[in-house]
Amino acid sequence: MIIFIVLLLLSPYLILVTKFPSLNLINISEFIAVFQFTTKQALLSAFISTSLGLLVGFSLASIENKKAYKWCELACYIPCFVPVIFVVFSFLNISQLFGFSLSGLFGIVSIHSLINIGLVGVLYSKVILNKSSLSNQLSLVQGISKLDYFFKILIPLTKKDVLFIFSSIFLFCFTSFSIPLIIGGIKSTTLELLIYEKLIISNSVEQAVLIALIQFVFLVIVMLAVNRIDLKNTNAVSLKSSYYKFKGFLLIPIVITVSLVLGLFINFNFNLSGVFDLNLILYSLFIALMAGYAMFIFCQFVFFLLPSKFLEKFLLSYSSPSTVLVGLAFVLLFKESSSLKVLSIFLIYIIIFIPFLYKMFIQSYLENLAPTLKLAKVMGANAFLKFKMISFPLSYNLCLFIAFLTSVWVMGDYAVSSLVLGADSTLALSTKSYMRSYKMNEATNVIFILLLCELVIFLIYKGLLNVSNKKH
Amino acid sequence: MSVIKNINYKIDKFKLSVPSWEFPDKGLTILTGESGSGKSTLLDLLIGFRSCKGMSWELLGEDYCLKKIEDKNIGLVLQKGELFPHLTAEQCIKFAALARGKKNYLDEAKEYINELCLKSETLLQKTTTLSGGERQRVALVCALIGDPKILLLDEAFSALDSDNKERALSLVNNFCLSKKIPALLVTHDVSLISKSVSNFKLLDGSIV
Repeated sequence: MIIFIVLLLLSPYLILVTKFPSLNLINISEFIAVFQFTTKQALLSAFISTSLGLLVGFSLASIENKKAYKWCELACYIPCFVPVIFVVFSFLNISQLFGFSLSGLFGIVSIHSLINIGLVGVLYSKVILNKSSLSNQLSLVQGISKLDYFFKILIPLTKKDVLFIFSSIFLFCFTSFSIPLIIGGIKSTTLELLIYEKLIISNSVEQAVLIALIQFVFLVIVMLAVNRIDLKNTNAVSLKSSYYKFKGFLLIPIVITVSLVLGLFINFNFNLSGVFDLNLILYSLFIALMAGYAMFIFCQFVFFLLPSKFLEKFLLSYSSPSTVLVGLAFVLLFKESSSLKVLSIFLIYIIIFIPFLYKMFIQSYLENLAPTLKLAKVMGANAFLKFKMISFPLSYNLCLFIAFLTSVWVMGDYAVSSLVLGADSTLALSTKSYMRSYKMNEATNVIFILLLCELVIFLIYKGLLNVSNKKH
Repeated sequence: MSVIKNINYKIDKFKLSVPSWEFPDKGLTILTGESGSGKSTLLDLLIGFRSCKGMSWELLGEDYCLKKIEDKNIGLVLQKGELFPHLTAEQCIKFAALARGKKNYLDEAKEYINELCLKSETLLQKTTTLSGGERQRVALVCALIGDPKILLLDEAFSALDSDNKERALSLVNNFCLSKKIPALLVTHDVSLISKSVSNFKLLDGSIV
């Protein structure tokens, strides 16, 4: 049964391999120009995110109060976890307000950086707390100067982690699709956009596949060069005295998050009549909730099969192909049947989201669950009994949370849905259309409806959680 | 006799080396040793949590090293009385019985519960709210209810007072003698040696 999960996650690659086209089809000069731009924007985004993120990490690690740490951590996570459409929309509004253009290379790099600075900050603060707490205290006792500490102890200790964080952000930005789709333009085309353009606009499937496969080879080379760090959730260690006293850099993620929230409502005018479409709202909610449900079932299936050394290693090392590549694979597979194409969207979301969700949440949870599962194994429980009485009740809340995140992201998704669904068939697609034609007032009103739908999703999952907690 | 051979297991600079070790295949055997002598590592190797190339373990005419963990039919009690944190004590006992396919376990379970003086209110509590001693006693019931072929007990009575310790040891001894199975108790409490049919000591990674 493990093979089923492996095949599902590898299916985009398997589907595309069958469509391998001739090398003669590709326009070399166009490809090189786009590849250069993609690499440039990814490198710049990763550099800015990592540099500012490290500063945020230092300040975050200096917080001694656990509650304050959690609140600051939340502020750092928000730009990264909310659907991209809110981030893009908010900062487009702000850019219009201040009279500058958020487009092209500048726009793409800015949005990427705004999304990732906080995440880098949190990851690096956990690296610092995990790795350097003891050396920090030893250094304090020995009276080493701050400069010496940073350059002779902290930086050598964490340079591999910084490199890994940088590489991960680079990969994320390299394969970013939803941001260039709105912010990019004719001279700011990334590989993902080029694949999308070949597939949807030029209807040249073979070219799209070839570009996607070249991109995949490049990504594999980069990924092989990157070591993994421990992304386990660390409980903040309270240090009585610390080198990291300056908390000022926390202003960066706080300003970003506050701006993100305020920027959403700049053009809001309470006039929803022009954009209110009940069918659109219900259809969008249906897709989001069904995607969450599919993710819940998938996660429960994973917990049913675990522990399994092979599956754990596979899920930890698996990186999903880019959004366009996955969408492309399923569009090709189901091109004769539009209803199957729509249903495949749930599989696409699973393939795209699960690598991040597994590393972020499931992996560390499994490590906590390991002794309990070991005991069940020694007792001789078969897989079904172990799942029914142990794995399912213990993983239910986590899987529900993962399903909630999936629904929230899908509600705001216009990247995958633009590949698979019809134009303007969801609220997010409708917002994207308004944004691209600079109808910001209409876009604001649709965003408001989108936020209300996200609230509905939150209330539904909260209700399910309450039912589960009452039962246990 | 149960015969274990060719254990050569290294962790950093510590080496567990047991070329050959025999202990009775009926009754309680005690293995003592100081902290860090390798007792828990040896137990992990017997259970199957760790593996050692070339190791063999003959018990009841079979090589137990070739069996999967779940097929070894081990009754296990760990030092902290590890159980399932989301279940009550009663539910843990039920799980242990169902895991071995035992549906009619209540009478037998009641017998062990009475012998170990576990109160009915204790059985209704979540295992995370039990004291260390209560958890160890519940874990012992779970270990016995599954009709194990061998009992492996890692400091299983460390949290019990002297009366409860006596009762637990007596239960284990009677169980082993009536079911004709071995029990291996790993402990650093040498006062328990008098309750065993045989005893060994683990010293610097070797059995003496």
